[in-house]
Formats: sequence, structure tokens, C-alpha cells
Amino acid sequence: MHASRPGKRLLAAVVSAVGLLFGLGVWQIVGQRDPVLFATPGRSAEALLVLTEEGSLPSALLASGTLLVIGLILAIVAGVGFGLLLSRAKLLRTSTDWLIFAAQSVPIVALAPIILSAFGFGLPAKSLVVFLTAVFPIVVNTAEGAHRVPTTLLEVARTYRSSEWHLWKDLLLPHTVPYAMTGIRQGIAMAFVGTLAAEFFLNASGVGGLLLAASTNFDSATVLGLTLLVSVLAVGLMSLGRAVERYFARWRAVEE
Amino acid sequence: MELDGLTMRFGERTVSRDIHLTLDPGRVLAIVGPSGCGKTTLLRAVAGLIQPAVGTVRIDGQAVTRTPEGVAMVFQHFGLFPWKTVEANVAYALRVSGVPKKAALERARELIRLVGLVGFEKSYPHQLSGGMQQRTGLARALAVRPRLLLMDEPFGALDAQTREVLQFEMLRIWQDHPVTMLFVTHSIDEAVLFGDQIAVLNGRPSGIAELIDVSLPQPRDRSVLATAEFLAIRERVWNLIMTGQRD
Ligand SMILES: Nc1ncnc2c1ncn2[C@@H]1O[C@H](COP(=O)(O)OP(=O)(O)O)[C@@H](O)[C@H]1O
Ligand SMILES: [Mg+2]
Repeated sequence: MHASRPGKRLLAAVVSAVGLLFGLGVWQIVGQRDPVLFATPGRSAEALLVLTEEGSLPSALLASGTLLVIGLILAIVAGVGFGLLLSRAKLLRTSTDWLIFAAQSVPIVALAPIILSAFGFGLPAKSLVVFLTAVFPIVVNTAEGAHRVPTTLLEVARTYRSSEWHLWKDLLLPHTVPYAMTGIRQGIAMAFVGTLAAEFFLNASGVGGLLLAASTNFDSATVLGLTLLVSVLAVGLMSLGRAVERYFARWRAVEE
Repeated sequence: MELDGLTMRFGERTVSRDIHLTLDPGRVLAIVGPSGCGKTTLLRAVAGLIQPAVGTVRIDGQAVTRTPEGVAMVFQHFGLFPWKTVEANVAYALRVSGVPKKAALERARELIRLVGLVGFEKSYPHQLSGGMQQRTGLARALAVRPRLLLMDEPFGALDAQTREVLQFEMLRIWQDHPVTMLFVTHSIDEAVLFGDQIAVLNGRPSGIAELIDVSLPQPRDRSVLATAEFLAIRERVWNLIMTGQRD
């Protein structure tokens, strides 16, 4: 079982590489046929280089990164905290369940303009948009995990006369962290969407602003280059999340 | 330990009624009965995890409302923390009662030796066989030097062979470290093997059909399985349980 894992990983890497090359090839061909709608990969890379040289890309990345990190950290703290709270307070859970599911099914991105105009288009308002897009998967997964603490283990803790502190340290937290991490990974993906959405409106800023500007100018090279860059960053951040999740779940039986 | 007229209910449903039992220090009381007759429920009441509908559980004269100090339980499905290693699981019993980490680990290693798990201190439960997991569960319960050990079908989740190995190993451990024990099982052999006294549960709701004294000498080992007394008691318990099944 263990011996085949590196093999499987290699296979997965080869498949992704082939997929990527195939995608680039198709992109190049389409780009040559229709240079206005689809710039070639070469021209996209060039566009990114130009933006980097003139300094607008680095500063945009910094602005967007700040926004993303602020929103995400707030979402993680609030999401995990509230999720844990829900698991220990039954009344709170039954009274807010519907609210959370309702909120989760509303596309926060669509509400971004309203939120921004209500809270003033600055960094706080934009962070709020990122926060709101990212927080729900984190709350839901954390609460779900905390709610599923095995009753036998709760009884074990009770027979050993565990204090509330030990109950959290030995049982509730270790059991819930992997679930919370799953939520955080989903939250990261949502935060990217939220960041771009927050940057699109009125005083466009950051990478979202660059994307919007390029797209109004029909500058497909820049749009495609930036889109790809954002995807790469998102995938990178999510793999980081996955690695952290694995670390906290290393006691689990090998799962595929 | 004393059960004084215990009736256990879940909602409208009465699981067992009017159970009177006494267990004196240093003795082993086996409770045997078919699956679903309320053995676990009874044990959970003794541990103070649930409250009886009627009656009182007393341990050393004190009515039980939560698990008293010095009462440890071994669970049918082991109840190990999957994120803790073997030694951390064993040390847990001491850590929660405030023993410093170093002392707790030292005592944990002692018990790991006692139950024959040397070399697996750093393993996680999912890396162990069922038998080894229950050895860990046993080590954890013994770590607190309990004055009362509650066993809930401790070998019930194991395959037949492992089960036998662990039964005799438990007998050996018990000889070296005698502890007052309430031993719940649905295996008649196990009840006769461990019990100084056997309470046979039957009926629905269940009650105590009979209390049988086992005069087989302690310490016991495999050889008692072939004695006439073992076979006679076994037959008697079997008949009692079967009578209960018919009505
Ligand atoms: N938490 C519970 N809620 C409702 N019914 C229960 C609960 N626990 C056990 N029971 C019922 O009580 C009966 C006795 O269960 P249990 O004590 O586990 O039996 P045993 O341990 O002898 O197999 C069973 O019929 C079971 O369905
Ligand atoms: Mg049971």
C-alpha cells in the first residue's frame, strides 16, 4: 500500500504535466487563429513581464495579497471559533443552523457592490467581502466535525473525570482540526473569488483592478496572463492548506 | 459497590428492572446475559454516565452521580483516542488527573510492559490489531490503579483466537495485580472463568435470574476449563439464559 504511493504520485504528476502541455498547445493554436480574443501564451507571458517591469503587477499583487490575507485570517478565526462554539452550545446550533445554510446558499459575490457601498469601498469594506465569501465553508465544516465527536470518546473522557480544558485539548480540538482544515481549504478558494470581486467595483484596485482595466481594453494577453497567474497562486495556497490538513490528520488510517 | 433496586429506562422503554447486586472489595462479579439485555446500560449507570430511573448505585457507600475517582472502565470498542499514540493513550488516564507529563509517561511505559506492548509505544491505534488496541485500553484503565475496574465485554470485539489469548493474559495480570472487577460479558465461558460470582441476566425487561457462586480456586488458568465444576456451572448458566429466551 505504501510502496505504491510514490508511484501514484509520479503518475498524477505526469498526467497533470501532459494536461498542462495539451492546454498550452490548444491555447497557442487558438491564439494564432484568433489573435484578438485569445492571445498566445507567449504574448500573455510578455504582457505579465511588462506589467512587472513598470511595477503595477507587484504592487497589485501586494494589495490583493493583503486583502486576501486579512479577509482569510478573519474568516478562519471567526469561522473556526464559531464552529466550535456551535458544537458545544446546542441552543445556539439549532437556532442558527438555518441562517448559516441560508447564508451559504447566497452568492456573496453578487452582494459585493451592496456591501462595498454600505461600508465605504476602502480596505475594511473589501476585507469584509473576502471575509464573507470565505467564512461559511469554514463554519459549516468546523461545526460538522465538532458535532461528530464520537460519543464513546466523550464517555471515555467522562469516566476519567476530564476537566473542560482537557476535554478540548485531548478530544474536541484534535478531532475537529482536520474538518476545520477542509473548510479552510474551501475558504481559500472562495477568498480568491471574493478578493477579485471586491476589487472589481468602483475604485478598482489590485489584481482585480488590473484584470478589469485590461478586459475593458480588450487586452486579452494581459487578461489571460493574470487569470493564469491567479489560478497558479490559488492552487499553490490550496496545496499548502492540503499539506497542513494532512499533517493534522496524520493519525488517520491511510485514506485515498 | 452496591446496586440497590436499579431500573434502567430509555424513554418509555424499560431495559432492566429491580437489579440488586453487591460486589465486595477484591472480588470479581461477572454479569452475563444475551446481547441487548442491558449489560452496557447497567455498567454505564455504575460509572455514573447515566442515571437510573429507579434505585441507587453506591460505591464505598457513596451514591454515584458521576464517575468516582478510582473507577476505571474498559470499553468494548476500546475507546482509544485515534490521534494519540499508545503511550499517550495510556498516559492520558494520568494526565487528566493532573500527574506531570514525565511521571505519567514513566508509569505508562510500565503498563505497556505489563500488557506486552513494548515496541509499540509510538504506534497509533489504527496501526494496531484489535487485540493490541484492547491491550492499550487495559493498560490505560490499570494506569490509575483503580479500586474498581468495569469491564464491558472487553474481548467481545476480537476474533476467537485473540480473544482466548487475551482472556488468559488478563487472568495472569489480574493475579499479579488483583483488582475489584465488574466483568460484563455475553460469553458464558468468560463469565465462569473470571467470576467469583455470576449474575445471570435474562428476560425482557431483564432482571437477575440467579446469582451463582463459583468456587473454582483463584488464580485460574486454562486448566479450569476441563474441570467438572466449570462444566457444571457453564451448563447451569446456559440453561438459565435459554429459559429467559423462551418467554
Ligand atoms: N442511548 C440509548 N437510547 C435508547 N436505547 C438504548 C440506548 N442505549 C441502549 N439502548 C437499548 O437498550 C437495550 C440494551 O442495550 P445495551 O445495554 O447496550 O445491551 P448489551 O450491552 O447487553 O448488549 C438495547 O435494546 C438498546 O437498543
Ligand atoms: Mg454491550
